[in-house]
Amino acid sequence: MKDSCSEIAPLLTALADAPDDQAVDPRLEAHLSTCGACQRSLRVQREMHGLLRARAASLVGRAPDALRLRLEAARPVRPTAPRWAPLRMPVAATVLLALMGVLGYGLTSASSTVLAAQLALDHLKCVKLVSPETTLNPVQAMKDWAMQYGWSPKVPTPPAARKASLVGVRRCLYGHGHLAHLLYDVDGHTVSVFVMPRAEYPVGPSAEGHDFFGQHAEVWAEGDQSFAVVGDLAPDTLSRLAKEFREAE
Amino acid sequence: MALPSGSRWLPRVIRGAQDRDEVAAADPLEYLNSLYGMALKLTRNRAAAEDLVQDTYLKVVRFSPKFREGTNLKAWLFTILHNTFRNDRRGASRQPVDVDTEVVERLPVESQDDDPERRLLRSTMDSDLQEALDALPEAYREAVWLRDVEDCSYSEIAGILGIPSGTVMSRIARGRKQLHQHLVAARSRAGATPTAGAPPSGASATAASS
Repeated sequence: MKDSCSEIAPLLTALADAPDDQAVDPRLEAHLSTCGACQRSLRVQREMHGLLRARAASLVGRAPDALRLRLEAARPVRPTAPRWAPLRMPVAATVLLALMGVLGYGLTSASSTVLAAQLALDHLKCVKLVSPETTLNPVQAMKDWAMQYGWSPKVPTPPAARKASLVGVRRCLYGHGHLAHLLYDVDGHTVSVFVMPRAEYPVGPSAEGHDFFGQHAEVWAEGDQSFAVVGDLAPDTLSRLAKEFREAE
Repeated sequence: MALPSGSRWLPRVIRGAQDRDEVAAADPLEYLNSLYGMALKLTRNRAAAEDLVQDTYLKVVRFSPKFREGTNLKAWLFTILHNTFRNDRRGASRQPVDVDTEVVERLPVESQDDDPERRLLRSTMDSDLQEALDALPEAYREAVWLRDVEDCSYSEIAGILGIPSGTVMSRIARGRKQLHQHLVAARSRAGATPTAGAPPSGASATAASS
């Protein structure tokens, strides 16, 4: 009986979620007429399938509005100018460039631009999750990070001339743990500093500025790590702040 | 910044199995609720689910040139979500649980009940159902969710998860049985009368997890 039950199992599963009027395979019908275990299995599977189908809408629920707004803001447009087609750039870079009106950056800065767009999105999301009242010890936070993820991001020292403190440390999911997201409160503004292995996020050593979703981002590399500072400050203010982060010891 | 709904930035696609004659431009954000629901079932954490959906969407944008006309967009989105989740966990040194052994689980002896299906349908709260789903092994949870909640076909689920259809069916069957056991056990704890297929007192609800 056991082998027979194994053979019949796929038919049983398919029958459980088939319409009521669907013809039953004669082999399955014959087996069911003599096997109480498979009769119970069919009943339970039907019961669970029916329950989940009936509750599907409420089980799926609704995505958070903030997430929907972020993704809608990032929704790219297909470029209308045919002159872009022969460039064969990655669509993500192309559409984001078109969307944000930064076509002048060209191919060489595409990776920096796409990275800045991605980090601006993440900044917008995470800034809502931290409390400026929370102050973390940067040294301890990075020790914990190294223990958990096996690498040590270089934590930029907040500029001494500003009232600044580390208020949050997050691991970006898409970075496979290789993208540290540090949130600082700087003079009352929440500013994100991203630290990444340069080999995985290659950008140039010179700071490049980008504007996405109302945020300004400065991206640069130093040694074997890449950095980005993102915030809703005016571009020149954030550039100055990024420079102070770079130069602070 | 947001574009009018239906902006044709993706290749022209066929929306789903029911509309195979109708080629139309589709927008991945039409499936945002489904993507988030699936992400929440995989991560069981709201912040992580948002991260996963956001990362999936960026990949969808990046990979859209590879999308082939005629592919089911919803299944394609779920495939990217599933792979993104799996890739992210690859470095987390988690050992997968073998859930695909070819052992047939038998349900406990059935107790007498006039209409167990209706009783369970009537009395199960959404929160209990979510809890029971979250308690399933990940492989079962994902397969059951795609079939019974998202109404994907067996072949679509096989494509999304990258496993044979037979394995899909096996996981769904075991997932449904464990789900039932969880719900019945929860009802028993709450003082309700067990329904058909209920395990006898003290019976394990995780018999298929090894």
